[in-house]
Amino acid sequence: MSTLETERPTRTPLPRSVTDRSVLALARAEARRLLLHPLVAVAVLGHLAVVLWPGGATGQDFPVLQEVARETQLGPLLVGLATLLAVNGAVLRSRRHGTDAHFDVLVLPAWRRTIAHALSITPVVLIAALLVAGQFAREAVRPGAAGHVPIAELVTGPLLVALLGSLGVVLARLIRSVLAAPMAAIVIIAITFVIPVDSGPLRWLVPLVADEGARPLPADLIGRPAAWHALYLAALAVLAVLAAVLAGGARTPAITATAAAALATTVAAAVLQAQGPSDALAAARDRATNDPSSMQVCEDAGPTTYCAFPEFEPWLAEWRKVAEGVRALTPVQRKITVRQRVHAADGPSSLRDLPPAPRGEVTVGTAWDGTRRLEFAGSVARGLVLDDESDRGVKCDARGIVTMWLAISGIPDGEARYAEARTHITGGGGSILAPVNPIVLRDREYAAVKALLKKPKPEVTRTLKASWPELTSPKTTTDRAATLLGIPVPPETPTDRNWNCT
Amino acid sequence: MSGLIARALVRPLARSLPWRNLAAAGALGLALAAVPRFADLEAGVILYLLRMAALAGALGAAFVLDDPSRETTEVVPASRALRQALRVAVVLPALAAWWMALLYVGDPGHRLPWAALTLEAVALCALAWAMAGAALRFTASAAPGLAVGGILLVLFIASALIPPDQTPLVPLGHSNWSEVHSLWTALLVLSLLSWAATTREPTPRRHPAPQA
Repeated sequence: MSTLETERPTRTPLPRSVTDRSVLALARAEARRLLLHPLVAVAVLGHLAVVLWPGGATGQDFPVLQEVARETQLGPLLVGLATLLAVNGAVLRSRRHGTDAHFDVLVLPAWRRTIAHALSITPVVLIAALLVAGQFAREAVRPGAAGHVPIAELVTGPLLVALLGSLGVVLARLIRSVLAAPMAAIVIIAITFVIPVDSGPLRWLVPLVADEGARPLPADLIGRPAAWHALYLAALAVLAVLAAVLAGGARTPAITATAAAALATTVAAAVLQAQGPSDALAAARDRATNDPSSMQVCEDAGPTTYCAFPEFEPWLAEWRKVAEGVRALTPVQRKITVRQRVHAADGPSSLRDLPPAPRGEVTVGTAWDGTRRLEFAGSVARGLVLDDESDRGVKCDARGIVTMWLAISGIPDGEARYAEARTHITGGGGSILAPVNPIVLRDREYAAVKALLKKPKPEVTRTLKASWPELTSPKTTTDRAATLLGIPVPPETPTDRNWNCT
Repeated sequence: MSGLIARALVRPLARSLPWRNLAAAGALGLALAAVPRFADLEAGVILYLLRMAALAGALGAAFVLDDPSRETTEVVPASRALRQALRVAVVLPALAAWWMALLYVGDPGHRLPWAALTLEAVALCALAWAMAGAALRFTASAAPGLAVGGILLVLFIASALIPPDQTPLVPLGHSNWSEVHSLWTALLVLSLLSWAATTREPTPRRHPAPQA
């Protein structure tokens, strides 16, 4: 029996500058390969296409910047998923090709190669940052843009790329299977888009928290812990890279200490981002919901005053055009306040109805586009005719006909806007989804409005001004209104009688 | 003859299949399908969870045709069609059992159309095998599984980003449901046909043997 003894070759440490240069050279080579990887290229080009899309990603002329900033995060998430898969494949390349053993004789130990792979993500992160900046800038330069620029929401996108890329590196070091990265991508997609995580503290552990489908809020009331979340993502990315470096065999005290610090920062940021809204924020939200006048700026313009949350001031002129257009069709000289209202109690995801304004005020929302113009015209028309936003009932008399005709005729492209909005509403009759309660008509009154819209506007306006008191009195029936306005009206059908008239 | 070869091949093939990948993908699929057990979810959300579980399964299945020994098996008398069919035949019972278990775990109340979901899952697997088959036929790659998985992921994410009226991942109760599922059937048939077409060995032109 004999034992074969092999002597382990000893590494001669190289000067620091040589290894650093080697790491950078490898990082450059890997970065180039990463950018040319089909998945990363497809994701980046797809994101670029969204940024350059004619009309912009949202296609809105009146974007609210705090909303736009949140919308810049989806593209980078997809670029990040592509980076995760590509960088994971790059780290595992030597294993797939059976060349791991050859690398052991090279100057760079595994942990330095890991650092090079982590550094190779940098150009993708920078490209994502440029794309996010481009997407946001395109919306921000629109003349109708309102709102604030939330920096923390904007840096979230590039940080998502950094985090997912680092995750790809650490996965390759911990699980030496190419399947790990696609499985991780599925998990990330599932927890981000499919599994609904309620408003608990766990919600913010997910990389991208969307808060979609709600009406915009003034920036101060949103209360998303975006800055803490950005710190959480950054610390988690650093932690992932350091975990990969440690797994690559670099157990130096400095790296272990930095990893411990990154872990502590991640935990701290995770805890801080999970704190609910502060008392001051809750109070501000309550005030904005129930007593908005104390937080708003107002502009007097003749008999109408326009009040908005300060960051929505650029829209005052837009509201004024609509309100004056509607008022010009009526003889009303009464003072009216147009007030912007929000339901801020639940933060940005709230879908609750806005509280109705007191008499003498009409409500305008925090979004603005063609459809919203019609809805606001409805709000103004109801203010002029009924002066009561809390009334949810169906007006089966002259007032209903006049309100809807005013709303549609008060804006230049009213009929087209109405036809467009109508396609999203089911059920019979006519309706305009005014910001507070919808304005709803039965088929009979809606037929009268359609007949009235066919007549020349100046003629109807003259009749309306002449018979205003009678046409806006609750005692005037639909038949009487039809006679006054000179239009045909169909007889009341059994379906009409089923409506709840007030 | 091919029956004999098949019998001889089954055991070594079964040993060389990527069972660990399949097991990992299957476990992830079951974990996704088990989410509704811990949370009260709408049927529409469970539908997407099961679709993602099916995607996980298809990603695992994409590796089934990977053959690291491709260069040595190319010259054996068993045809490529037979070798690939055997590989799939060996994993198919396991995949079928996994999918049934997944449906029972994810949708015990049978609130979702299982047949349509199964069609989607089978079509995804067939697409994976068709793409892997094409890669083996037209490239020198021995292990196309990873690339095929990447393409499947991209296709899935792209479909999820398309508006509900046009996406193949049609929402539950949408008016396009049956129309979209005939497209899934077409995808399944086309995938199987193209896979079958690519299993043919590229036959080299026969040159007359040089005369001595």
